[in-house]
Amino acid sequence: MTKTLLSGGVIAGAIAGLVAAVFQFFLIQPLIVEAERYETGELVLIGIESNKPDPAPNPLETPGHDAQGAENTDNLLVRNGLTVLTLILTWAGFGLLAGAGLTAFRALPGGGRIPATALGLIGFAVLSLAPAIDLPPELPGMEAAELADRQLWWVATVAMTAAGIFFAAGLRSWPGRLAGLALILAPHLFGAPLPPVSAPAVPPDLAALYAARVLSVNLIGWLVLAIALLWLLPEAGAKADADGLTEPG
Amino acid sequence: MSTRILSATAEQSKSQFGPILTSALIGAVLIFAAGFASPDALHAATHDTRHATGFPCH
Repeated sequence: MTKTLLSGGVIAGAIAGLVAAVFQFFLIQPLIVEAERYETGELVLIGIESNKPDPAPNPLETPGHDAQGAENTDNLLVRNGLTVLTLILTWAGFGLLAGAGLTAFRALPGGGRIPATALGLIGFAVLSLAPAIDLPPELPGMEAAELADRQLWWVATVAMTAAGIFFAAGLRSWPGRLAGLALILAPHLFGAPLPPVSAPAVPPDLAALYAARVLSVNLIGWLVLAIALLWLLPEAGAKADADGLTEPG
Repeated sequence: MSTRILSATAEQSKSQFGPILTSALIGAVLIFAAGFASPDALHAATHDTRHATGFPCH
């Protein structure tokens, strides 16, 4: 059982990660590279030059932030190779979480069968949409609140949304549904850490396009992941087959 | 009939608790390493993925 669940989650996630990587280079990466030209000061938004802080070195300055480095073919190959690898690892992590959630949901009193679209939409809602409502996907160079605060809010929001959907969908009782709804809403009522008020460092239309594209690609990734996961971890109706596969002897 | 199904479900969920926990833990570790860990080398390698997946970055 453990082996099937783990391999199913990793394989489904890796497939979704590869799909996300293809879209990454057509839709996402060009916008990141463009934003980095503003981040490094190569490009400046007209009219707000005086608001730009002195070029104080970013403590997290890395090759990934170096617009000149991006022009170097070797660096570019390494950078893009690492991006494909880490996308696959990230989505494998999503696949493992989704596999765990799916198996737990099947064991709940109100749980059971779930179509691929519903599973994909739930994964997208939990790990992409819910945190993006208050912390939209950000381009390099954008002003943001303290990193640790945002990370804490992101993790809390994902955990509470997952638990909320689990209660609301799996328990089939009104107290359970209300508790689920409260969990889903709480992080948004509390609110994410806000960025300091400042002039935009990258063009707002670029940031808007970026947020829309990231959410779209994530949605596609989640639908692919869900289809692959349900194929690799058969439904309860096929339990006999699944047991035959997973518990030999 | 329903009793049999219920007890089968309870038995099933008991036997699946370990695998569910293992899968969720490994998944969380992968996501933490790719999306949250702060060592510079890890941040550099995962930079574009973090931005592209909607993780907080910088």
